[in-house]
Amino acid sequence: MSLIKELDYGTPIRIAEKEVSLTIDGEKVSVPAGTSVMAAAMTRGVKIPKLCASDNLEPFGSCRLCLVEIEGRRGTPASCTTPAEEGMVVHTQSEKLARLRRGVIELYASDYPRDVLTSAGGAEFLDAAAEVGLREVRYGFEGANHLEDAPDLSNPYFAYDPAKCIVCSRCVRACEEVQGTFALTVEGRGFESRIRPGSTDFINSECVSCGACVQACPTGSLIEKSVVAQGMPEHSIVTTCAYCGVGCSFKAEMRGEELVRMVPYKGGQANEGHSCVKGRFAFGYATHKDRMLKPMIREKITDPWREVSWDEAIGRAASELKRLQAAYGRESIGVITSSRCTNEETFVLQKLARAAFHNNNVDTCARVCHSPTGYGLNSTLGTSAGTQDFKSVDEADVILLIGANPTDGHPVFASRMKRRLRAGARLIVADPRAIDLVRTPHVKADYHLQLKPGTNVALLNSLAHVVVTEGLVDEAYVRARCDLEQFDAWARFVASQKNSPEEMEKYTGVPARDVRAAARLYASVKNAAIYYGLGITEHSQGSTAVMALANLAMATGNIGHVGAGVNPLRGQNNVQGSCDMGSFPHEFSGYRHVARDDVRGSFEKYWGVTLDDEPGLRIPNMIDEAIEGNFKGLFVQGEDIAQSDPDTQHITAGLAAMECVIIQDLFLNETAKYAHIFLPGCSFLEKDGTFTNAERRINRVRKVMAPLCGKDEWRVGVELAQAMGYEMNYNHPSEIMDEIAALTPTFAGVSYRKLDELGSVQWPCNDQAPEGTPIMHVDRFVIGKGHFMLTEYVPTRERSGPRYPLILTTGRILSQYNVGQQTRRTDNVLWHLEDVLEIHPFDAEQRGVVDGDLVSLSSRVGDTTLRAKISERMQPGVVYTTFHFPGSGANVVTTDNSDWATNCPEYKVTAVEVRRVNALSSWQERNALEDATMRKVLEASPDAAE
Amino acid sequence: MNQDSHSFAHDHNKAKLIRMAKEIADFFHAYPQDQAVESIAGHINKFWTPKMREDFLAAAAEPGLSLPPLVSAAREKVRRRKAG
Repeated sequence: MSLIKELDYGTPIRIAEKEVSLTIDGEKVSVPAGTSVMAAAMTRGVKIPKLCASDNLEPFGSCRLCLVEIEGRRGTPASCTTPAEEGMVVHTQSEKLARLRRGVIELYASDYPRDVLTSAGGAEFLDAAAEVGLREVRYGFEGANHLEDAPDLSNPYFAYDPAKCIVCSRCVRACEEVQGTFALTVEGRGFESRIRPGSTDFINSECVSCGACVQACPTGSLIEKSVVAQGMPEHSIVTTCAYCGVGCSFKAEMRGEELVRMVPYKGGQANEGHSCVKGRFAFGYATHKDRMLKPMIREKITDPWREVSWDEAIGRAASELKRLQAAYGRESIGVITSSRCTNEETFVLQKLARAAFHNNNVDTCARVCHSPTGYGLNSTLGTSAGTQDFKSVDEADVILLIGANPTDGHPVFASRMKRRLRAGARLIVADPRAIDLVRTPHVKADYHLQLKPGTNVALLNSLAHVVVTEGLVDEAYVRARCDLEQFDAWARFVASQKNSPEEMEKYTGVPARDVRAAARLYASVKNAAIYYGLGITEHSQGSTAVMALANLAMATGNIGHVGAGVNPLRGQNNVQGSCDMGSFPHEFSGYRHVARDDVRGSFEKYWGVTLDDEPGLRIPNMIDEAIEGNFKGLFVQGEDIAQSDPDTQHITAGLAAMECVIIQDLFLNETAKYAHIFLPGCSFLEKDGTFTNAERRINRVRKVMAPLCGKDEWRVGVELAQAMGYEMNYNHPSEIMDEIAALTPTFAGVSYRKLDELGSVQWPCNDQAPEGTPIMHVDRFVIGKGHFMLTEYVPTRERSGPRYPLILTTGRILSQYNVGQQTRRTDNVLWHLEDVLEIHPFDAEQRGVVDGDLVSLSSRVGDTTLRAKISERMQPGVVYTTFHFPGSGANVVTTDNSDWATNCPEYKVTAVEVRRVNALSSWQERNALEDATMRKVLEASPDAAE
Repeated sequence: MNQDSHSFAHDHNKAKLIRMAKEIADFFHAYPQDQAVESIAGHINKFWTPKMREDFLAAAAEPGLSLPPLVSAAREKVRRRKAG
């Protein structure tokens, strides 16, 4: 194994129909028009020395190292800023060029630290010096220089040493062009010019720590602190990030079995070499001291944990689950799979339920996030997934962003979206909160439809009303592609006066004129794209809203081509995959109902067992049945329902009512406080498998270090099945994928071999689409004709009133991730150490609350205490918080209201009151006590561990 | 926790099933009656376990319970647990 080094063409290879031919060093070269001489040379393997150029940035021409000679032209132009032209004859090497380049780098070297020990990360600069044959610095090192400039070590993950900076501006341009944050600038002129993160240091600047500047730096001036501490890595393995649904590819750069750094992989088709602070830097949790590495058991949840061998733990789990089924019936136990786990682990776990438990009691954490996406898109378009690849946004003319906050939740995709917006695409934001994309450097939304929480369907119906009544329907598309009878019924429905923007304004709070203008804008262009997130799904009408989005896109002809579509931004790395793998209790992999005899028959034949033809329990039903005394045993893999699911006290009451709760996780999480058996899990760095991202892209996850707990995570489900008397036999996760492919038509063409060959594929991948399907529904919908659904607005039963006059809505932020298990155990806490309650100045003033006050947040189901943050992002009457820290108890307050179709919780609408207090809530006090008593671990006995 | 609010959030299981059926009916209310009734029952049959369906039918049959007409009509089409 060695370090993977990606080819850098120096400047982007342009996309153009016209090709130009030129001669470089005597060789004929053809490239798309607009491509630089530097990149053209690189296509033939001729590397022209460079420092300020990189093919993910526009050419800049500042370092003057890439000079060439062009016949018939005067001087020595920079090859990075000179476009290749037809008939051009270029020479990249001559005595004159060598002298000039040596002279350039000699000047740089005269102001560069000589101490080789400080040169870590400056490989590109040192290579360039070697390439041009620099042997001496004739000027000496005593003149004016920057060698004493103070380094900026404020960022926890990277250091900035100005002494090594040559002001090539790659970092500034990466921040602008790749990330789109514009945090860096060149301050001063000439010799005084320095790179600055505004007028402050890095940690206090606008910098979002995406790492693009560090990656761009050719001199080691910006460098990962881990490289400084551990030294340069010596080999790397490409794998997939385990945070959000963008699914970025990274090179895990290693020294031995030690991870030195994660570098975004340019060949990764989801991220194309970009990253965010979580994927790039927040991997320290994987080796955190809190990791639990031994299996443990206990009789009662009030007992301390006792470490045992794997055999004993799995044996105990099997015997307990069998005992419960014998005592309480076949349906008294179940499993919950995780969107943080691989497709293969998830497939094994749902198979465990169906084949070994002999019931369909399997559900997944997608229940509480994107289950309405599956239901809504399946009802309208015929498949439970988004329609586009991420790249599609590059051609969007108008973007409708609703209920999503990509700069925080899906930062790498947000950068791509911002790039498109800077290039001129128009933007409509529909969100109760003023998210960053409403106004951010060089991006301003044309319309911010600041609706009241819970009124998405009202807003979407009123947008559709304008489309239909103002003649903006793409009639040719609808006639050719959609069910006309359904369309006619839908058009009559949305055209009724009750759905007009003027009528709906009383619910949404959005001025009718803005709705009309936004609808006209959306319907006026060839390529209009919808992007949405949990702000759509996590409502009592979550599925209805998803259908309303699909209706809108179909009516305007915006499904089936590049630049358009309906695109769910998935929260976790493998939400799409966990749903694809048959984690829902009513369907097998590939979204096929358990009642279908043909489908069930194929699984029965392959698995050699009779399968249940009735749907099983969803997570909320499991909890309800537990409280009723009917559901007694649960295996939870990689999820923390006691923190993430709504109405915490209801969840913990259900867990406490069970006789055997089995948790497999990295840490003793909140749910583990109610568990009887703990099985240690593996971080993504310890896994082989696949994740499927929001664009249906199946990416390989590759093991970079051995499982710290001594057992592959996928083996645990297999061994539990075996211990319960059902044989599963796999030698490697690739064999699980082979089984998935054999049983799932949309995965029929997927194999590890193909993934290794192509990098990734987007399902459907089968005989009809052997290399996958970037855009779905191109010529026809997968169900034939598109289905328009009627989407009547039904207000949520959760209403504000005199006792609870405010509406709470929840979300997540950039530096933390969901329940925070991973990110809380990294230096990301420097940006977000606690969950706070954002409240509008008007609401705060009415309650006498000032910034930083401790406030009680109470709803009809519970109350908790947080610090207030006065924020004009909120509209009056709406407050906002995150749920990254268990002690903040955000979900103690949220209710069990849920989506009518899927029971996805209504996290986004809770009626609350806020008042100043000076103490924590009684739940928080009790929780703190339980933290101390329910997580105790006995010291290991000598023979416990394997 | 506020005790008088407890019943709001933690409906008894059967009451919750009735509530869920009403919410399903709220969605299909926009459709012609026959189609709505079929769709409500179809949704329940497709996504609810046999025990949930039995519990719902038992709750819906309780005297004095007033069900919306669509739910009442759909109840006749909800599939019962298979014998054995």
